[in-house]
Amino acid sequence: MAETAAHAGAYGEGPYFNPETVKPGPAGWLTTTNHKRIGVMYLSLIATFFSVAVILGLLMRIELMYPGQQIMSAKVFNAMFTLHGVIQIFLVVIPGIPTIFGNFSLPTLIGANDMAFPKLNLFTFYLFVAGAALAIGSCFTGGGAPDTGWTFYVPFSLKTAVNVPLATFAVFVLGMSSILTGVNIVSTVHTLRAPGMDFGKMPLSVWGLYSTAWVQILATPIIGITMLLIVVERIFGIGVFDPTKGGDPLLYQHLFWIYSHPAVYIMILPAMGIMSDLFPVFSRKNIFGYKMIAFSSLAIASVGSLVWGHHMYVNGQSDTAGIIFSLLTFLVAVPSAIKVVNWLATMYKGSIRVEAPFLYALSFVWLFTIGGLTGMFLGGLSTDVPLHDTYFVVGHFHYIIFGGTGFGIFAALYYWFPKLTGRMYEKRFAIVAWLTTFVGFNVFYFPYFVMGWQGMPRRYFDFPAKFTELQVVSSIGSYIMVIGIAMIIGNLLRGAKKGEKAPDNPWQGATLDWSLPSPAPLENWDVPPTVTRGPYEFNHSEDDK
Amino acid sequence: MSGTSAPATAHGPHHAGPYNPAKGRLGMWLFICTEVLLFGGLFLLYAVYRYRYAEAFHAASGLLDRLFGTANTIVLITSSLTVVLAIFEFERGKPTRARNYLLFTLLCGLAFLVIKSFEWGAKFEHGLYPNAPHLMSMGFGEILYFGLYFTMTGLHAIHVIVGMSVLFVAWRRIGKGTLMRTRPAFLENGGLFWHLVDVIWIFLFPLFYLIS
Amino acid sequence: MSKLTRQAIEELNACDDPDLDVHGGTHGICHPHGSIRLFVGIWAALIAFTFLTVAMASWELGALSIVAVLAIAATKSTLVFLGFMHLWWEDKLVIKILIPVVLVLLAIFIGLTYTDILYR
Repeated sequence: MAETAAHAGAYGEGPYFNPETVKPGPAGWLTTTNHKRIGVMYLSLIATFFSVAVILGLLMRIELMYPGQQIMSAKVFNAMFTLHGVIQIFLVVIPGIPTIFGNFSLPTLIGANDMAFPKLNLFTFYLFVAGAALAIGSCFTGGGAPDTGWTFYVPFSLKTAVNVPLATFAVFVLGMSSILTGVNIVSTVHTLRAPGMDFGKMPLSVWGLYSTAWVQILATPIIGITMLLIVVERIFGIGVFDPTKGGDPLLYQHLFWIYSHPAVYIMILPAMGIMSDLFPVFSRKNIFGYKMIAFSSLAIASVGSLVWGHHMYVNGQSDTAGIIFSLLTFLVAVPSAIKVVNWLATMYKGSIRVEAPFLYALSFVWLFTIGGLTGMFLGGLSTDVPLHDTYFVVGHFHYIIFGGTGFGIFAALYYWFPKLTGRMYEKRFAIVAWLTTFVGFNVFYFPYFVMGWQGMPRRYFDFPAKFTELQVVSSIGSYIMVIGIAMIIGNLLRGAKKGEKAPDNPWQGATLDWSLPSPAPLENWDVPPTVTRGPYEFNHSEDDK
Repeated sequence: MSGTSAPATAHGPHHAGPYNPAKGRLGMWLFICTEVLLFGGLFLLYAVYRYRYAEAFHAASGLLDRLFGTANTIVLITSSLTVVLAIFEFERGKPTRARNYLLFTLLCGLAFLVIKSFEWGAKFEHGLYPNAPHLMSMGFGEILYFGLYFTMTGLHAIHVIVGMSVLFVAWRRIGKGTLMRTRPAFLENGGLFWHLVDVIWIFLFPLFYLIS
Repeated sequence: MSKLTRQAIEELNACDDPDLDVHGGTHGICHPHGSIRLFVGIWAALIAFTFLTVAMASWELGALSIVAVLAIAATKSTLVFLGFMHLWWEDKLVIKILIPVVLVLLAIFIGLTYTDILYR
């Protein structure tokens, strides 16, 4: 990195979290427009929501361990899975990577000093806080927590007595926050790249965030208006989704999934981008097929926006639409497979270095591939008929979103931990925690495929005795997984406090972020760095030391 | 950021990286795209229900007063002209003229809302509002037509109010001298938003008033 | 919060400062585009189209009328986008193609939905 010399003495202010150089105390955090500090605020909020939703999931697994009622009533169970879904989807995995690492890492990856609109960034954060507060508030006001599932399907959501309007309005506000995050990321990538950082030299994690941001901008408004329409429908009764007034409930599903299918690409694309950064670093080898991976991100973003109808095969949609959407769905498999194959080819004959981030990246590929291949069953018109709304779908979804995005977030946390905290976690323990989580995850979710195949419907509070064995296995798996997650969080928290000091570039990465000191300084660069080589050309990175 | 002891100012020129005046413009255009798609969802609903209930939509459209709609179209188009002239005058250093044009734009916006409220009032009097017994006694097509009519024109009216607020702030800031000729983007982006409101009305007008 | 909102709006509005080293030439959003004559001309055309479209509504065009009405609306909005919203003078490619991309996307959304509506 040519800019190394520019570092010397440039960071008198010290790390970004140093209370001496910024306004001390909570006020200094809550009014900050610094991209790293905003990223860390998102991280702490999202980690909290994640923990709450994990506990909700754990309670559901306790309930589902044996037939009959265990610890909660059916009505509470309905509220539980709705809340679990709403929190995990709208408060954790959709905002997750774009807000945490899109803020903390993106500017450092492209040689910028901040996001394009720092104040808008803080405003966006408060929109997120407001949306989250509304979502949580909807559980305790006006009739209680929504029991519709996170999809809010009409006409049930128009009729149920619980607090649907507030929850849907919360989704609208969270959507605005997501849109503005996307606007900021696209503007940053277009206008704040360092000299020499052309689009062909951007790290692939930036490509992932950039493609995602477009989906956030172009798909989210549709869910915004759909959720507003639910509110308007409940208050004024305009009739557009109400079958008693001629409205078509299927149109709600169309509008809902026009956003909510691309939303799963908002969840997975940035994780894929980060994986594309990790494999070269831990294989000491340039990425295989840079252009194809970058292009496949855009391909997934665009084709993935046109496949929403595969959520509606059995809901009364026309057969013609089913055939077209099924075809488009299978097309998405192509760019996804390109990524997987390129990651494997990157590792081939590489000099592999087994560290915690790498193990998470590896398990990402494994779990994502299982999730993707089981998606094929659901994308096929005939196989979906017996499998829809069964545990098979739940298994598929969690393999992609938890196994993919969730493990992706863990990988990214372990990877950028030195930049976040300036310290290192206990590496051995990190590997044990990974193994526990990974084993628990598979024991937890793999039986879902089997049970789904045998006809166990999802969102059911009870089940016939023949499923007991698999349900017990699954519950035990979930306990193991939760222990693993607790180990991960404990290790990271302990590392942040007492871990040993991390070097500036512990992984010998070649991207710009690793040219900054650990922990990252408040201001990134005094003089914008000049980029002369690609993000994965490691042969020079020893010069940096 | 309001660095107490940090020597380098956060927004100093060398910190902004390669300076690019297109930054704010790009952000605003991206936002406009999201607005287009927000209304796009409603246009999708309109397209489907108009296809399903073509006859009823024609009949219901006849219940709207075309005079109100045409008048509002002219008002809005004229306000679009004056806002673009305000920007033009401001950027060539004529802030007083710019303010007058803006004031005229605000008056147009107000006129639009007044005409709209008369129109809505008339509909309410005739029992043509969501859930009204009279409307409920008509067919599905009419119910949906008026459901969409009130939703889309209502959302549009909210945008008119937001646009007026932004332009009002611009008017005041020019008066106070806190909006510089060299940095007119607040005015420019307020103008962009106002034109967007105009464009949406350009589509709403024929789709609701002219299909009978 | 309201102060923050205002600041956030303001921030979308950073314009070029002549004191700064402007990247990519002095293309000016700070130097006025167009002319009064041009803008008044566009306005006149928009008004004329409005009267045309109202008049057309009373001609018996049948199924063609919706096409004609939408074509006029599209023409009018193109005039607003290119003239009033300065896209004609825009030199940043990504901004130039945004609106067409969004409209194509919306058309695809509606089109794919119609594969259900038409054949159900």
